[in-house]
Amino acid sequence: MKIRRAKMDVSMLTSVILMVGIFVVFLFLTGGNEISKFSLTNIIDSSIIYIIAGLGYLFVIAMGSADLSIGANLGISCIIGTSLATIWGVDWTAIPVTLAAALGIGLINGVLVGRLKVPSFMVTVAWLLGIRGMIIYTQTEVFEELFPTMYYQTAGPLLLLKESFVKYPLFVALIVVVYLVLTHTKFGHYCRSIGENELVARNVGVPIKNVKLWAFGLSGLMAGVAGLFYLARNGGTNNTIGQNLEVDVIACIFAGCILVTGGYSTKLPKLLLGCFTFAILKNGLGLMGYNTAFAKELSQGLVIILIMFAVIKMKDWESKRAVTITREDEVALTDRAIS
Amino acid sequence: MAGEIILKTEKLCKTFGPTKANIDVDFELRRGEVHGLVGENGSGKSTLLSQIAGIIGSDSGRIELQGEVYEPHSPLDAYDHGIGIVVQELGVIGNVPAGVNVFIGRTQRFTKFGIVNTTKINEEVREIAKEWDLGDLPLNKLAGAMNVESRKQVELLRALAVDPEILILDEITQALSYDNRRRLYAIIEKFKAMGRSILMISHDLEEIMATCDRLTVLRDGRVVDTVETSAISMNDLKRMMVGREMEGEYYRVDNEPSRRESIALSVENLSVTDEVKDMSFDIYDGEIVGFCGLSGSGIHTIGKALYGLSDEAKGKVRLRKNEALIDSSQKALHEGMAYVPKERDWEGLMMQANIRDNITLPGLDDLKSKAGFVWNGALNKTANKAVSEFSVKCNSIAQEMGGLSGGNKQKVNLGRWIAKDLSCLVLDCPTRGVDVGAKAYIYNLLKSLKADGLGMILISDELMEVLGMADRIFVVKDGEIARELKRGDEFTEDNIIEVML
Amino acid sequence: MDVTGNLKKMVISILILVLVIVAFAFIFNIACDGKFLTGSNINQILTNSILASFIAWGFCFVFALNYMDFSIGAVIMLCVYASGELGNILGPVGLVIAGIVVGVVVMTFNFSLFAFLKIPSWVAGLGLALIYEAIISVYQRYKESVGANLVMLKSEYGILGRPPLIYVMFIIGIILAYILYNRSSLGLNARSVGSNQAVAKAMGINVTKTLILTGVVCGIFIGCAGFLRESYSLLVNVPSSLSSLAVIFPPFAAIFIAQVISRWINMIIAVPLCAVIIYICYNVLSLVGIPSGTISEFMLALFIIVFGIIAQRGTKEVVK
Repeated sequence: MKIRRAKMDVSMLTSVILMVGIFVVFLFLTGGNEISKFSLTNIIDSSIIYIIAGLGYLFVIAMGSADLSIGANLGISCIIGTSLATIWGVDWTAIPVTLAAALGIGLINGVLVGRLKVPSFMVTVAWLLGIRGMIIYTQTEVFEELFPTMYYQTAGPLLLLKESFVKYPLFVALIVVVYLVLTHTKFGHYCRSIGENELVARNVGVPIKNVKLWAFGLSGLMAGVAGLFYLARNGGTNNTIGQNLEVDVIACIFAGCILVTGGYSTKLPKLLLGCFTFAILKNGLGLMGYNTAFAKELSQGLVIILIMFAVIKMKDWESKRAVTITREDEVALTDRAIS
Repeated sequence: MAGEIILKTEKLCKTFGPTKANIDVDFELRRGEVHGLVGENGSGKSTLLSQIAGIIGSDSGRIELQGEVYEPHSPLDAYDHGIGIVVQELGVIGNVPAGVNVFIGRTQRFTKFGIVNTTKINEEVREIAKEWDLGDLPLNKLAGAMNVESRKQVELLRALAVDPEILILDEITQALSYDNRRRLYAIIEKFKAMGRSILMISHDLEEIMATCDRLTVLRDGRVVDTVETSAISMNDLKRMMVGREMEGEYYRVDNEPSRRESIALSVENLSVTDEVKDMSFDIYDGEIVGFCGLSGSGIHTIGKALYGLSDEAKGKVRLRKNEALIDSSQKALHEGMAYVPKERDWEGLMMQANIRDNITLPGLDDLKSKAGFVWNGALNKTANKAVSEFSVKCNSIAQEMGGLSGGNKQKVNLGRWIAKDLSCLVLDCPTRGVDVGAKAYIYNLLKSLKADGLGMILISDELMEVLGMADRIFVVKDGEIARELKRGDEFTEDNIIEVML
Repeated sequence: MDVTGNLKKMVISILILVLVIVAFAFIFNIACDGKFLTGSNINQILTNSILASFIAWGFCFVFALNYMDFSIGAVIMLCVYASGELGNILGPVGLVIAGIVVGVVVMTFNFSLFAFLKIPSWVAGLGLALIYEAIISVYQRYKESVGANLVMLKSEYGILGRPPLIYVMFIIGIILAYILYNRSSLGLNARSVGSNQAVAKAMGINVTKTLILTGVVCGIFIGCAGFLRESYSLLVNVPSSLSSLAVIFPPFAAIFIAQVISRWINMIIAVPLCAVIIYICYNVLSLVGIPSGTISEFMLALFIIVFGIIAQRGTKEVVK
């Protein structure tokens, strides 16, 4: 019996092929324009916010859950952070307050999903709409007198985040840290095992409630970090802060061929590949002259559906190869693998 | 009439991918007989049944029913031909009341203008239950809200509702309690008297030999032989199934209980809602304590509670060596306990993950590096070691768990705990659905663990297994320990059955 | 969800709930200086509730198949514009036909997609919502390019969405929904397929036919929601960035609460009652001076979460 190392992951290959494929397609369609706009720093700059949020989201999807509240989370955390900073008059306090608020919301999600067992997509969709309502409220006059977030102008340490010598190294550092935690810590393994089969994880002794708590916490926290970059770039908060973030992130995750059930298919390189693919797609559609709202929504929608379809087909095919016999899918009933 | 052939297969073949599940199977079922299909896992018996039941199609060969060619395209087809089926793969529809489940797919005659008359359906179901002397069921309750046994009863009613000439039963008895098992045997007797036939599969060789008139033994997809039950012995049967002499004793050879002085686990006043009532006992190091009982007795719940998996458990489960209280599965894991659950495919193993990740999951704490990271090198090493130590047949540790056979899966299910420094091991039906070769392997493993001084709890539905392996047996009835038996003269099947009912 | 509940128990539960609602209504009235219990106010609450009920009934069928379709908001918008356009040409008849046809076609497509693609329905629904919103934005640009404004229904055609005809619609709707969901073989088949598709198929239920028919039924209710909305508002704004989710938010909350009380009151009947509760709350908030679309949304989110917690109390299953 030969004992070999783990084989190449088919879905990783797919995401690479996808990225290259989309790039080539748009190369033709834009007559070469794509390359001139295509530089690494450009891509990172335009998509840094959802890449960072995606880093946190990896933990949630690894467990097979969903967090659609990250956009709203980013928004309200920034608002709370900037409001308090303005009231206290100390600029840099926006940073810890924003992060604390974002982490807090994430942890609340963790409790609701982990301990109170409310389905994650339901909770987070509720926040998506509910918190956004609050965000709109903060932009009204009534609120403004109490929490002057509109008057905040990014200054001080936050401005540093605009500088290349801070932005890029920090970005890389975040990626490295998340990679290590996701792939090479007990916590990361536990997250993925919950996605594979939560019942099994529980029977082995994985502390499910705690893992869920901190996975959602991390997702929230990274939304907060992304929020800091947002504040740096935009100078302050506004009405549409954080809008669509969750959809961007989900599109990237699926474009990277990570399964919606997570598990061991959740790998960080896939997220990065997916983000690039998505960025190229958006960029390309924009260059071709499509109105941004339409282009954005269409690309998001198509990515989500088509890629998911392809990934699931891929996983099916991979499973069929691995299992020596499977019952036919004439009537897709419980598998009893026989050998 | 009796003795005439009602169903016959000729050179039936079915292949799944690279594996030939049924090769040239010739089989016949007579009127008025109870016919058992026996074989190890992978022998092809479920594949044969599935073709007769219309769940899957055949590749070649033919089936004849009452002299005519029979090619069912669905279980409904089989029903229309007078074949009633209770098979693992089917089951009930959860979101629909039990009564409607009995007639699912055939509600047309209760339907007018698209409206279904559930009252009439329930009336007829009650009549069927009365005719076959099956117990009462809450027919308006959603089937999904019922326990496993009740669901099986609904499936049985569904099969009987077509007034079948042939009744196919696949591993049904393991889900039924003793009373319902008796009712089932009564139905089987009635069928025989009516000149109808039963085709059944069971892993319980004793039951099969006691209930069936003839047996067809399958091995590696082929029919080995068809014999009259009265004409062979259990050993002959085993030999036919496995094709080799069983070397040495399967179970333990010694006839006396033995254990160390120290207590491994102490249980005080354990109770779980009304499934387990105020139980107290101690497990010593180096002893195997067996728990057996009917399906409603609570033995499986005990297993879960001992590993901290039961939220409703009251009472104390304590590891004696450091007085640690086990109140959650993470605590149990941390304190060196191990739990091998009954349903390995969906409770014990992650089927779509690879072998390595399955093996190393319980041991991640021990595999951490100094900085707290878990590196792949350590994981690979541990997994490879386990695979070779337990002779797990696989392509590599990167192979998906679902690709292994039952016995090899169980080796992983159990083996991944062995590398750890264990304080106590809880096993629930460790050889369920496992072929004879792997069974022997597992029993040997348990014997050596016992010699090393590990205290073990063996929960099992198979009386022979518990009698063969345990030092002490707790017979559990209705959530209470009805009797404690010590290895030796007290260890008889009768002693257990007497108290178990 | 027990379908054939005890009739007497159910009627009593309904009466209790109605009495509670009326009692609260009186309390609110006092708190709002009598502004609450005015004819037009109550009409508005009831009208909104009825609109939401049609959406929620459509959702009942979605849930029966064990799907979660987030694109329904955008689908309704498609129905809205379709019925507006045809309504201006052919009057109320065109309104109804366009709404229902678009609803049926799109919902059937949605269900077919869910079944065929094997993607979890909530994900596919999000994707579809984006695509449908994109389609609507194309429609809007087209209207701009030919110099027209977004379609506005002639007010004389908007009779179906207003009292008294909307109450007639309600009665038709609830009777249809009740029979189709609880008593028809379609409802039973849908729940079978949603519960365990493989077994349903093996037992002879035609899964494809069931999916399509359920899509049709669901589409009818969604289509009704669409043309009723257009009749009521006459001019509806274009959705973007998943704002169509906001459309299904209140019906969603209504179904949630209805699911929790489905032990006593049948889902179909509970839904409009829950919708009334929600819109009373909305109304009270706005009477107190809080701008719409802000705190009310947050309150609704809390509702959903709280009822979600209650519904999941004691669940032993794995929840993602």
